[in-house]
Amino acid sequence: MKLVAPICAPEDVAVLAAAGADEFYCGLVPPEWQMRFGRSTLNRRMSGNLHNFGELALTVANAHALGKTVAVACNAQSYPRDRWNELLGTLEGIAEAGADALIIGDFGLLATLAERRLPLRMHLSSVASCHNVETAALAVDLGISRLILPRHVTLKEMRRICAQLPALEVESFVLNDGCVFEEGSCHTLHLPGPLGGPICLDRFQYQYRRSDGRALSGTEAEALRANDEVWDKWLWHTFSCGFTVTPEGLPYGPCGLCAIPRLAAAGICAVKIAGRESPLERRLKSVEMVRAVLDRRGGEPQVAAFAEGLRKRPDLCRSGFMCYYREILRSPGNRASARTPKSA
Amino acid sequence: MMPPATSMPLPSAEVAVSFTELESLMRFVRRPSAAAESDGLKFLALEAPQVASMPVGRLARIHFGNEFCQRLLPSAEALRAALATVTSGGLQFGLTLPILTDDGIERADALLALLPEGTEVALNDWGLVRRLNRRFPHLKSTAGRLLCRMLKEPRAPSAAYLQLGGHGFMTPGFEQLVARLGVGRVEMDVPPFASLHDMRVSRGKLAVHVPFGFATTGRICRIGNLRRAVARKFETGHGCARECLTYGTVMTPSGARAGAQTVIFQRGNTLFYRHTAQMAAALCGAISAGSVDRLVVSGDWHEARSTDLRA
Repeated sequence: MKLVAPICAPEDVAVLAAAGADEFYCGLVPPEWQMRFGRSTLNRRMSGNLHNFGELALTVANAHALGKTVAVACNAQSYPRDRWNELLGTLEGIAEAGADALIIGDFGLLATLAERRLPLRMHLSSVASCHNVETAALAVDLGISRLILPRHVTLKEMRRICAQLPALEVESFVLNDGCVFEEGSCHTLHLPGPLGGPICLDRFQYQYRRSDGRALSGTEAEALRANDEVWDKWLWHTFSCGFTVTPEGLPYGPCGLCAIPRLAAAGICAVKIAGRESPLERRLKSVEMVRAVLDRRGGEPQVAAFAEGLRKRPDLCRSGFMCYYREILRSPGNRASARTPKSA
Repeated sequence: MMPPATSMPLPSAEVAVSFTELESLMRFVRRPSAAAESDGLKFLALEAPQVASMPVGRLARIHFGNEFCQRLLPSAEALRAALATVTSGGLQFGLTLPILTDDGIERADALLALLPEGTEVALNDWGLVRRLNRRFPHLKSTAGRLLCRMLKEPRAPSAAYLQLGGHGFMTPGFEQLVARLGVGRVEMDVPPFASLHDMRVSRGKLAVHVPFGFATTGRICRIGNLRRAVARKFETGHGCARECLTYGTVMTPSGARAGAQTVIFQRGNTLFYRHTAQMAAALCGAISAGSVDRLVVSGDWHEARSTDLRA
């Protein structure tokens, strides 16, 4: 199973490769694009992008010298018509710089690229919201070599996709950066803090109503309040436990380390560390964590126990709220499972 | 002798009303003269006052099904009942499907098998469009609004925030895809700060949802976890007791944004915004320009307020 890590600069390649990364992905926003269309519209990231084709060519050269590959994310949900030609020109520039793959989030763009036949592989981004075999098969029809699954896919669902399309490489999330909603169906912005920030973290006041017009009973109001309280806890875990790290710098937050043996058994060929905008230190610690688990020998319970021990916070693992694949906690022999509270 | 001058009819949009719940659909369709044009307008005046003044034609269609959650897929019995009620009421029937997992697709196949030839199915997953073509070629596919991606940030204080991202989904790539997949119609939302030029397609026909747009959705449902044990709350693929049919939520901005104008609310796993007068005016212009030939009015599963059809 390959470890796919995010890079922001050509120098990142050597550092993260030494820590155990097998493949890299990155964003690129050429200055001409930034000037006309802004920084975030090519690949949904304001920062952490390579700045020009020269940087990309150097990044690719660094990676190839180590026997690694580079995929470039062009994974906006969609691109307005007024920049279509510039977009295609940018993708051709990425191919000329020697990148190995494009990560595409828009099926329309994929349909265009299927006819253009650029000399590089196509990966379907998690932003494309592929949740089933049929959608994966359509992407294969359009020329993809790899499917990057969305965050919210169960192990069972993955197994089915991998089993029915055995020639397709399938990649899944393993660490960092949760989302509350489906990335490909979230049409909001991460607004500046004073305007509310990301909509999933906006501190709205919730006012529940019954659709039959009746007033909420006291019992209903209390149940809704209690549910909201747990929601807030889940949000805190989803957003890296308040954006914190262990004293050693290991990131808290969304994690599928325990599930790595199960992911491998399902047919997942690569696991992805999210966080193109993260500082190098965070990405480095993330690669070290995932590599340590990938290299761990033993059965599923032993690997799970090792993974849980990395951050030395079994209470956070026990909550299940950091888990990308929480069903793993219900596996026999999983230590966190043995301690998971069964009810409120 | 010159023929008498005739005036061309002004463009107008037919009206479809969409329902997630069979009960709401039945109540609406079985009202006296439900299929009459005046009844459609009366409904709009009550439920969508912004739309009531628009150039709308007759109430022509009822759509059944939810676009956002596979846990709300109707049963085969419910679909049969809805289909019979709608067609006996003299209206056209359409089915709506959300993004589905493979388990959901198996259930959807059983539903699609019940539909008569020519029935429109609004699909919100490109893979389902492929499947419809392969397995149910006698049905007509519509690209649902989840496939028409554009920035729809309802909290944006001005159009400038959305300008760079743009509203237009009708790119050459989208055109190629709908042509390849034989999609005859597209459904879309009215984005905040829309202009009438945002609502047009270069291929096929265009329907627009009113009076609410959706801003975001996903598999993790806040209200759907109301009765689940703490350890099982908010996990991927979670079950629910369809709490979204009972409860809705109005979301009020706090602090500096307390004066924000756009109404935002959540139903189930989805955040919606109510159209502002500006959005309604843009849509009105698009209908008059002949770009939009159908409005899809939300009949239930929206704001839980006094005009809800369930009330």
